[in-house]
Order: sequence, then structure tokens, then C-alpha cells
Amino acid sequence: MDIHELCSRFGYREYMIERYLKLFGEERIIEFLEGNEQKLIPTIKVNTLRISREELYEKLTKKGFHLDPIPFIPDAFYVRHEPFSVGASTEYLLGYYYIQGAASMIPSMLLNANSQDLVVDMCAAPGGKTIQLAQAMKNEGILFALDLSRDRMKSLRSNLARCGVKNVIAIRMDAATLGELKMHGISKILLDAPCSGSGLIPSDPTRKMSRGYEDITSCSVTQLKLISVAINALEPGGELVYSTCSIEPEENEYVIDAVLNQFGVKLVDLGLTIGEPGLLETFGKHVAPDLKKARRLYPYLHRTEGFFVCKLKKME
Amino acid sequence: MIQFREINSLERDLVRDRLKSSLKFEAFDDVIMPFRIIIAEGEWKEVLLISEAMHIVFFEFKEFRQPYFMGIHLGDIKKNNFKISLEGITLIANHIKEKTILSVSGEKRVLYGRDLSKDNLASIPAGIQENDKSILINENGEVLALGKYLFNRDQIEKSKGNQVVVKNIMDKGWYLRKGK
Repeated sequence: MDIHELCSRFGYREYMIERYLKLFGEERIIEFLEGNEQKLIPTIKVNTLRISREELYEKLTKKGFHLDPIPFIPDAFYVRHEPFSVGASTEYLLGYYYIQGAASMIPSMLLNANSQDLVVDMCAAPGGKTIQLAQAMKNEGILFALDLSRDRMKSLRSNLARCGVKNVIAIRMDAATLGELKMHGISKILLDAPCSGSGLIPSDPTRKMSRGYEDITSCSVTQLKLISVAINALEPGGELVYSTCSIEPEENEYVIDAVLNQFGVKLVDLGLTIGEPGLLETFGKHVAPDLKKARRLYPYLHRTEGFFVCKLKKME
Repeated sequence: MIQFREINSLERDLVRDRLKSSLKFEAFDDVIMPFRIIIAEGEWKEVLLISEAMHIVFFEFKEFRQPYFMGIHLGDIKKNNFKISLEGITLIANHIKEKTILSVSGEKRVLYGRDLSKDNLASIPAGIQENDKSILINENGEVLALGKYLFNRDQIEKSKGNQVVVKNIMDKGWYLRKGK
């Protein structure tokens, strides 16, 4: 297969095609690349703090939106037709739903937070996953939302206010310094880690050219640092969901493999009906067999953003 | 640098009085007092409502790091005056009897941040007077905005179709215009 021809046909940097050829093989790479060319269907998550799924369905349908349930996420819809932008309806402004990629709805769901938990969302802005956690916690308990960027904190605040979230303490800080808060009793942590974003190519094709291999390695260093801090902050028996919108093994399986070796944590079965198992051998590197419990989602297979998710439990 | 602290009694009375006088909100003890009321003091004072559980945790870690925000933002105290927020009006709306109901055209207009004319109003509270503030809802009873009447009821009835009669103080279109 001619790498240069694929680069020019699909508009990628060469190193990416070389990598994807190794990851997907000659038989699947075209399917994968073509999948990235198709726009994803917009998806919304019902904010059950404000409205029921049925009521929202009725309201939006009356206005001419065509909605289909997302089979693998409760209280979520594909927006098949929008008479006007789904982000500009009265219902959106009233906080009845938020717009979020289907795969991005999975991590908060997997964390199974409840009102008795002390939860930390380590990279919270713009807040879709935080709102989902607040819903699971019935707006009770304590949910720490951390983010470093001032601008992103503003959008986090606006989104939480719009959606009626009231159990959040938001702190503008580098999540890598979580330990400085000296918080005890953290039972659950969501780490949707900053990443190279290669899973977002269907919605942002500029990422085909704008990221280099050094971005993958530098993200991977940050991710390992963040997850290590998270595991240290978690109480024994506590749970951590790790996710990225990258499909690069260095940002996913390799990071988890490293913490499985360094810390007393184990991977937990996710019970998801969607996704492929984590990759156990890539670029000549083998990782722990338990990583098959992780899940990968791809635009060409699942019609979601490219995504990686897994759940770790800290040993007692 | 913003400092977080408990509300003092003067500030609490100010908030209570302003909500009562400007919006006829009488349920302060039932709706607001179950929360712990926190002041985030910087250039102005933000009034925040948090749960008892959040309060305990907040005081455990606040010596290490200040929050950026927390709980419900009820409003702001500026120059000894209290201004309610969008979150605040949503919180108290169910406890205020008289609200202004907007027509479909009024709903659209107010969410674009515009002021309202007589034709945009489906129902006006009975005793409304010039300068009264009123929560603006749509025909489904959903809270959209806070407005200020520029005329009394009789004057509004006599006003021309496109004359502005209610000034838009704040509306939920803000989340799209500025809050992104």
C-alpha cells in the first residue's frame, strides 16, 4: 500500500498514516480513513436535573427536531434533523440538555457516582461530564471540578449554572497538583485527560496536519503524571475512570500499563455493549492482558468520536 | 484575590430585603436559609449558596486553595445593593406568585436580549407599577428572564404596538451570547 498516496488522498501527515497502517493493517486502514471523512451525527444528553427524557423528546419533536435514542447511553439522543441549531433552542438555554459527543458520555456513566461520594473531575471544562456526574449524584454530595484555563473555567461555570448544578466546588488549578488540596475520602475520580485529539478528526479535520508525533509523546507524559496523581489521591477501594479522545496507544494502553505496574490498582470490567477491547500489542510493544477490559471506539465502526476508556480500582 | 467567607448579618439582611422589596419574595427562610451562604469577595461580592456537606469540605481545604466558584450563584452585592443572578431567579421563581407571561414572540425576543413591547406580553401581573421588576416566563411557565416595567398597567394598555414597555434586565439567552 502506497503511504504517500494515502497521505495525499486523505490529507494526513506521513507519520500518522504509517502508524495507522500498523494499527489497522492494510485490510482496515481505508475503512478507518474513510470513516474519519464522515461527519458525526450531533448528539445530546438529557439533563435529568431539569427535565425527563420523555418531556424533552416531546418538546423538541414538536419543534421539528428528529431524535433517536442512543442505544448504549441512557437519556441521550442522536439529532437526525434540526430545523435550526440544536444549540440555540429555548430548551437548550433552559438547561434541559447539553451537547456532547456520544463516546464522551461514557466515562461519567461508568464512574457510577452517587450522592454519598466525594468525586473529583480532574479536567472538567467545559462541563458536559461534570453535569452528567452531578445528575448521577442527584445534585448532592460533593463534586470537585478542576481545570487550569481561566476561559474554560468561565464556560464551565456558565454550563453548570444553565443546567442547575449545585453540588460543584470548582477550582482553577493544574490537576497535577491535586495532592496539594490534602483532601481525604476521595471515592471516585474522572480523568478525561488532555490528549492529542486524534479521535476528533471527523469534527476537526485540521488535526490531520496540526499534530506531530511529539504531541503524542508529550501528552503521554502529562497523562501518566495526571493519572499517577489521581491514584495517589484516591482512597483505597476508590475508583477512577480514565479516558481520552485519542486513539494512540501511547496515550491510552501504554499509560494504563505503566500504572498497573507502578501502583496497586486493577482494571475493572466495564460492562459496555459498545467498543472494541484495548490493544494488547502495538508497534512491537506488549501490555498487560487485562487491558482487554478497556474499550476503544472508532468513527468508522461506532459512528462516535475516536475514544479510549477504562476503569481502575485502587486496592484496599 | 477573591476571599471566601461566611455571609454576615448585614449582608444577609440586605439580600433578604432586596429580594422582598424588588421581587416580593417572601420565602427567604424556606428557600435560602437551608443553604450555607458564602460571600466570595473580590471587586464585588458574589453571594453563593452551598450545602452543609460542601461547607464542611470547603473549610477543610480552603487554606490550601481557594475555589473559583461553588454551589449556586444567587447574585452579587455591589455598592450596598443586591442584584439577583439568572440562577437566583430560577431558584426563587416558584415562590413568587405574580410573574409576567410572554407570548411566543416575546419569548424569542427576550432570549435575543431585547426589550419588550405590549404585543410581546401575554399576561401582566395585576398591580404592576412603573419600575417594578418581574420574572418573565413563557406560556409553559418556564423562567426566561427578569424585566423591569417602564410603565404601569394602564399606560401599557394604551401604548403603541412597538413601544418598549418592559426593559430586559437579564435573560437566559446570555448563556449563548456570553456564556460559551
